[in-house]
Amino acid sequence: MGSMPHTAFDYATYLPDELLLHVLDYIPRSPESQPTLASFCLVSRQWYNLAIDRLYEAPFIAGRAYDLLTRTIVPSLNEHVRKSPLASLVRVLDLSHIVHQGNKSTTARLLRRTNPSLEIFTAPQASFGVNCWAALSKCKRLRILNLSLVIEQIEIRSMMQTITQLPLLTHFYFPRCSSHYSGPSDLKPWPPHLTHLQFSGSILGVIFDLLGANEHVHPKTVTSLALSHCPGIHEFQIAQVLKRWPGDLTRLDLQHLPQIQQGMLDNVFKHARDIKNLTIAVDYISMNFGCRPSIFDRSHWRESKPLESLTLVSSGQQRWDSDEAFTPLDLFDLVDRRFFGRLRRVYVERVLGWGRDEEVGALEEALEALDRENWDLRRWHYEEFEGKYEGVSWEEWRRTSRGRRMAGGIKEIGDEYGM
Amino acid sequence: MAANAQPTDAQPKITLVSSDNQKILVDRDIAERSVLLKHMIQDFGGETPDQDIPIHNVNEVVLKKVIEWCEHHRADPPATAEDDSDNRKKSTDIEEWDQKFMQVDQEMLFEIILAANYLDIKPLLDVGCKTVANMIKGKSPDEIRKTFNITNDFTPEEEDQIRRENEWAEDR
Repeated sequence: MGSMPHTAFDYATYLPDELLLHVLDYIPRSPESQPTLASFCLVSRQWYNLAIDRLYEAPFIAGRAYDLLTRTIVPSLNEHVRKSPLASLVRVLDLSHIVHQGNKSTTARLLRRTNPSLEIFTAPQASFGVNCWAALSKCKRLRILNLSLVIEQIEIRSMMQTITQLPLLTHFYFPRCSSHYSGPSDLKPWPPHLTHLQFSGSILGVIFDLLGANEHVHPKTVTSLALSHCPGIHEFQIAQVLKRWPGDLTRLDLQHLPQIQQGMLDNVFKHARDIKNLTIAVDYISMNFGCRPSIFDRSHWRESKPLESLTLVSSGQQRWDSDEAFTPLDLFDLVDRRFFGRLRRVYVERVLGWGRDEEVGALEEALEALDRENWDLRRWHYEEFEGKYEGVSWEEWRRTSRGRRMAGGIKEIGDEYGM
Repeated sequence: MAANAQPTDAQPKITLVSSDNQKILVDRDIAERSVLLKHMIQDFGGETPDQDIPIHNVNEVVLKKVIEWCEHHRADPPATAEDDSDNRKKSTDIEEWDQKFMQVDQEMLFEIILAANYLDIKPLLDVGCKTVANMIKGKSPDEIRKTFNITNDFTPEEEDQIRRENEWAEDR
């Protein structure tokens, strides 16, 4: 397509590409902006060429939009459009909002059309089936594969056969549905750069075989583990998984585990010693969270847990005793005594009501005091500044953007967190 | 940061010459809001240059408008590269004074953006681009063309096809 002429005369009606791209940067990538981006593309050829990639990069599709998008990028449903180059602009395909529309063969066709560019795929609940595996295995650029919503029974063998063919995959989420598993021979080696695994469903057998005698299938590169929507898993099994994990886990996410009751995961650090980032349903822990030795005080700071980020969510269970519940005051104590001497970020799901709790103020102060101490004494993540920024007070440091970033704090998060 | 701004009369002045050959006298710290001018002044060995500095691409009206903005923002702390990466999630909030300042006709708005780009005044460029983005939001293609005086260079067939292809994105 040709470019717009720009003579001295009409200069001011024309912005060069570089500046229009700058304007586009201020149109947020949100579902709300999608109609604006679509309008942008229809203004002129210049505008189309600049915005079309962004429109198709990560389409937000729900309801009627699904059929319309399918019509555009899966040509067999539309005689008029032969092979659409638009399909290969799609890098993120999120079908999590697709419930009743669609069918398995359409999902497979969408995957086949978008496979040159697809990097992130979230499968739909109902319209993901056997015929999707072959299409998925051709998505060689896929980095994140999320099957967590899939409710149809799947075969572990086909799934593993597909995953092992995705060289760039870093994140994989198991389906929460039941699965057909015929034994260790179903398992295949994981992609070489896999760092995050989420287990869901009734797959204890699969998990223990993955951690078993055949080292070939060990998820060695995985440093981030999530157990979510596993109806049958008990606390001793979680302990087993953590103990036998072949690599160093630094992230752990535990939620939607109906067998787990209050306090059962208080000792989570016993087997997952290197966890820096923990997300846990507050219903699984109690006032004894962390199992801090009673003599532990600030003089033991060297033995503080590596935990840097703690996210507390609700599993929505009601079977808990509020006298035993883990409260902001308990967290204050863990920080104040330096058992959590490296903690920087605390995220709390809004429904837990911590925002209305007066103790949160004290906790916030404790986190600040800890940050000040770590800065002043160049401990932990401030060790790298040993000998640097001499004479810079903590207050001055906190005013810099890096200081703000490194300090963190406590924050409420929406209810939509996690799935 | 803000302490650098001295009273106006104590400031050394610089003469800028617009593309239509008009001389405009500005305080040095105002001129230095422009990275382009700042570097030019540095090339004079840090001395305040006594010769005129030509601004080839900006006419008098636009240059005065840009200077007005720089004067209002003379005490702003300089943006650091780090702040910039911090703001990756770009906010489209514009402070009130800037909003009023940007209430100009479309031609002037584009001229300000082009001048800010040429003179390398990033915060002004950002405000200008944000203003354009905010003006685009929620508008139909036709309204956008009218607002910015843009010619529709699609054939009716092309326009139809694009509209059909992108229909999925049009409502929600």
